[in-house]
Amino acid sequence: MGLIDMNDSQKELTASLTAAISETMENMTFEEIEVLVDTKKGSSVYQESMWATLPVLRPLAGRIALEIPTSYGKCLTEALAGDSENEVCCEAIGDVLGEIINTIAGRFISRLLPPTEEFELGLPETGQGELAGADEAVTSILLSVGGHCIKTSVSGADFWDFSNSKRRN
Amino acid sequence: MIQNIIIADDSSTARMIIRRCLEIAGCIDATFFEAADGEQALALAKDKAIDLLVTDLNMPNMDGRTLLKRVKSSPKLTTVPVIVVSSASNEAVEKSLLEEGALTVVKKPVSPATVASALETLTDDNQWG
Repeated sequence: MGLIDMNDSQKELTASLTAAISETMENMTFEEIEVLVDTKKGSSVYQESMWATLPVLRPLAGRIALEIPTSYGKCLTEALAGDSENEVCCEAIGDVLGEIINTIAGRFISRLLPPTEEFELGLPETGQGELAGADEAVTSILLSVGGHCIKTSVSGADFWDFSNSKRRN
Repeated sequence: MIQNIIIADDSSTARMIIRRCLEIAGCIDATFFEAADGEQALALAKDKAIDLLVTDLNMPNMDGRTLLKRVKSSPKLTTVPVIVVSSASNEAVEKSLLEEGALTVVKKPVSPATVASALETLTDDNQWG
């Protein structure tokens, strides 16, 4: 329903992000996503959460973010590491989240740019609790994955410009 | 046969996934050396008799592109095949990496099938099946 108020560029931004998340989660965790809410702003919806962010360096500068409940982070880490016997530590969850946001970002930017244009991503950062600056997102999507609610967002001046006027062609 | 393989990625999860994919793709008896960045990978490559280097692109200290350039400009290491594994790749990035000497570029997330396909570019011999 949030798509109604969007222009074509905003729709492309949101659709590209949704597709990137869907491809990433299906390939890495074999789980399908369901879009719950699509809104420009959103506050953290978890009691206990972790986040990962990744800077996009060029040609568009900005930040991609992922927020998930810590309980889901543990499930993901156990599934990817294939180890459900040992207690999963926050560092291990952060490593998994970093890899997921890295993959989402790569697929997202690949969809936005012409294939002949090179791009560069930065290194992921991870942390616990509420993500600072989340209310500055150009687009933010709440999704359900395997019964868990996750949030992804894109921020940065270049993405604002992209969403307000189509950048390519 | 590929005996010694370096996997360079700043994510331990990614290193583990790549290693599993390589094992499933046929490198079951290989010895794996893990590096968290390009500097560690380069030091390992100089120290070991390496048959294959699999590297991520975005890493701290020394990124995968710089590592690739250093390997290809080293007389001792220039023949080591380098597979770049990255999420930050498209047609343009892949083209420039191949021009810089990468054997092939594999998009993340990797799977046993994509890794097997990359290994097939190493040789025409069917030594992976």
